[in-house]
Amino acid sequence: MKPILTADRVEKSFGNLRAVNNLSFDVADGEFLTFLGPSGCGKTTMLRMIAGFEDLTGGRLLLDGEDLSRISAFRRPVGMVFQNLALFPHMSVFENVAFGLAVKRQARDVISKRVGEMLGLVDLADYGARMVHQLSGGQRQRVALARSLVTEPRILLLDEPLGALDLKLRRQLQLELRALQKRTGTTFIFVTHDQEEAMCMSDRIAVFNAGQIEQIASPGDIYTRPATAFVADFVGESNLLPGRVRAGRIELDDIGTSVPDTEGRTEGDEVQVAIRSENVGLSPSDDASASGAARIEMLEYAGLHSKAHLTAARTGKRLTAIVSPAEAVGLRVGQGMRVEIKEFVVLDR
Amino acid sequence: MAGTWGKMNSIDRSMATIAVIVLFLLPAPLFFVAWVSFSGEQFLRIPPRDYSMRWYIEFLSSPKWMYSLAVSTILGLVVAVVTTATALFAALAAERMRSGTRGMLEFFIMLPLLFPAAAMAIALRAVNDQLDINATFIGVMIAHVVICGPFAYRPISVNLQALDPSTREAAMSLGASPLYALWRVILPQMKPGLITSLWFSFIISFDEVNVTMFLVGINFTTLPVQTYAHLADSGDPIVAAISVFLIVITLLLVILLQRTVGLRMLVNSESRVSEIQQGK
Amino acid sequence: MLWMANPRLLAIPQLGFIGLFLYGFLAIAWSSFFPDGVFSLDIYASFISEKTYQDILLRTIQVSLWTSAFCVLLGYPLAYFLARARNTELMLLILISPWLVSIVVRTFGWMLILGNVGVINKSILALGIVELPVRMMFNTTGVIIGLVHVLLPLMVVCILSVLVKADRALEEAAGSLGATPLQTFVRVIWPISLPGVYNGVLLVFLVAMGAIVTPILLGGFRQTMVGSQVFQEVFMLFNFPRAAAYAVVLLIVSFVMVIPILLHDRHLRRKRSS
Repeated sequence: MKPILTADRVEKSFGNLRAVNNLSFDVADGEFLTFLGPSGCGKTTMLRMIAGFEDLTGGRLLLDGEDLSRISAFRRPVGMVFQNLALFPHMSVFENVAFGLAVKRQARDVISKRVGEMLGLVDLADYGARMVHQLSGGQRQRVALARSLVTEPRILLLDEPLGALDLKLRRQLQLELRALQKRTGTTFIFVTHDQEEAMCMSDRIAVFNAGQIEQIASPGDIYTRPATAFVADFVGESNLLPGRVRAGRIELDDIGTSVPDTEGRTEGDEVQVAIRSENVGLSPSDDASASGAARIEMLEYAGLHSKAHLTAARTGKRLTAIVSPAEAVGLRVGQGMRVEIKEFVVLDR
Repeated sequence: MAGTWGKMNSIDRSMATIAVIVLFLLPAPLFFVAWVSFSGEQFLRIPPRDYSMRWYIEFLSSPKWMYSLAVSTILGLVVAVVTTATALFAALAAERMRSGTRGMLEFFIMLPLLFPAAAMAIALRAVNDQLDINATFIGVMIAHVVICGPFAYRPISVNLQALDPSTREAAMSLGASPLYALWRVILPQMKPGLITSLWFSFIISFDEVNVTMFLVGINFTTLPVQTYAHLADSGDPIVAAISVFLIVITLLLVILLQRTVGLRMLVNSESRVSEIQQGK
Repeated sequence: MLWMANPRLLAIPQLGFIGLFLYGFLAIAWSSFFPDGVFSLDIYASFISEKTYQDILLRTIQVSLWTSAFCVLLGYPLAYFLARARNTELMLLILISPWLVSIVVRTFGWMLILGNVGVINKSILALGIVELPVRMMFNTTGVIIGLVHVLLPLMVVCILSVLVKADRALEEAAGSLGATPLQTFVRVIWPISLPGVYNGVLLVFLVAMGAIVTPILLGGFRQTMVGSQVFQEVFMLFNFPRAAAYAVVLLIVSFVMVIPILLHDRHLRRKRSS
């Protein structure tokens, strides 16, 4: 299937600062794609270039095969939900949602019908006459969504729209957004720095770092097969250990064990091994200085996600392991443990 | 207020005392003017020996005074609209400039504020002479637009800066052209600034004397200038009646502004625009 | 539409008006150097050599300084009071209404009060406090009184716009640290309000320097200020080049005198933001 949006070697520089560096990717029609990354990584800049609010300094953007550089922002069939929502304060809810249709000079009864439907879809059917400042945070969110969706854009861009909401509301809206996207079938591109948010809503995640995309994949792949150290560390919690290839195995000096090398790498190569905290197994060791051991520095009791923070006996490297509540009870600070790796990922970068 | 006297500290009280005295003194000269305006005598005398409304009647029935009143009013309206429009354009331009260029632009716009009236008067007279428009409507209008410019620019610029810039982008993301976005999204949010600007420009133009007196002629004059001329030449109380008329008009206009938009925009350099828009 | 491509072009009308005005100013400056079409510094030379002209300039500066001083003394308490008033809009109404009434009307009011047969003189003569009327008009005293009355609201607005933004919690913090009201004022409130005071002094001084109507009506033509002198030169003596020269000198002197204020204000601002 042809992608709805193609980025071809896109670049954006502000003076000497390279905000977006040679990005190429495709967006499939109807998918929920998330740009994930820390502040200043270029994800919002990329979004704004798709919207047309920033010009590209290099490369092209193609929508349905057409080059977007010739089309100004207000002519693109691309909608946007802004971080602070940007609802029109001098208009009622109805007028806000109707704006995109009023611009196109639709007939009044058509506007009434479409706006009514959209408000019903976001559960604000009776709120048409209210003014924006009379609404709660969650309600304003939905007005912003309704306003952008009523024009039936080809792509809807969302720039961290849930940031200002409290946790419970945010979770609720995440699920609603996901459902809404599936129901309307509109392609969503969502920007966030919250990896849990990205994981729960997206069909695919593009992990941004300093203007580059480190990996685009489904949430599951990102989690279990991170492509780079950055991805491994940014999404979920990982321990990163240096390893050396020797005789078909990868030796991890810090903890004194080795793991099998399934890729047949060259002897002597140095790699990074990423181990998720939940894949670090601990068993008691009598002697703290024995090989394969680490010492518990701190215990964190947090129900299902209780953690043990350890330092490797040999090198002092820090490790984190997730322990079950039952296990946690039997552990003590200062105890020496043996470390067993259950699953791991080798990063070549 | 009585209850709060006890809660104020010594500094507050000394300040309040002086403040109240000054507040009473500020309108004092105007009361004397009003007093004299009801004089029934031929000459200006305080206190008047005789009372009547004759000078009001004379003012309102005199063609020459009504003419200059009409001139001042129409001039004020035209100046208000022209000044507000140019200030709006300038503010929209300034918004898109880098801070260095913008600073320079705003310096030039505010320049008339810094020029002493004596210098402004001569300069504007020179402009009128060069273009051969002295003692004409256009000549005075141009001068007034220059004078009112800074006063119109400030409220508009402040209002514009207080707006959420993403509403313009939101409008564009919904398909509105920049012009449509300006008309339907930006300008409606600028009512406080625009109204303040119109009002301010009108009042300043209507009352302007210092510079205008250099720019009028036998066939064309404004009400305040004619009042001044009459005051300098003859000493009859009609000047007082006209003054009361001007005071009442000004007071009505101030109350009008206070009711519609509030007087805060004249004082704050950061406006509470959002409060005003919520209908407070 | 051209302006959509380059919105900066929208500034042209406004700049056009300013440009006209600057052109006018250059034209008159020119004429002051070329009276009767021939280059001559005679007029400026006479400013330096003849005492009358120096007197006029000095008198103008004196009056303006006194006016600024009184405006601060009387205006500051008013601004302070208004900043704390609960019914702000009503207070502003009382403050702003007299400000906007025409200068002619207000100056006329003072003529009624200060004149030889005005309210004050009539009262003190009747009460027997003096035997001859006290001269309060047609001298610099009258002009200062009139100008202070006219410009006081301007000063108040300048100071008020700074005080209104001040955080009340600062005063409370000072109090909680043991400062008396006087100390709080001197160490906390006054320094914070200083930019507003500077701004006010700047504007009041400049306006007073260039005032025309008030000096004419309350000061007469025997002891003129630059403003009334310019009027005299244009309408009575028909000496346009000399009027122009006065304007140029006035401008230069005014700007020179406000430089210390501008510098100090910038110094304050830099200190605060570092």
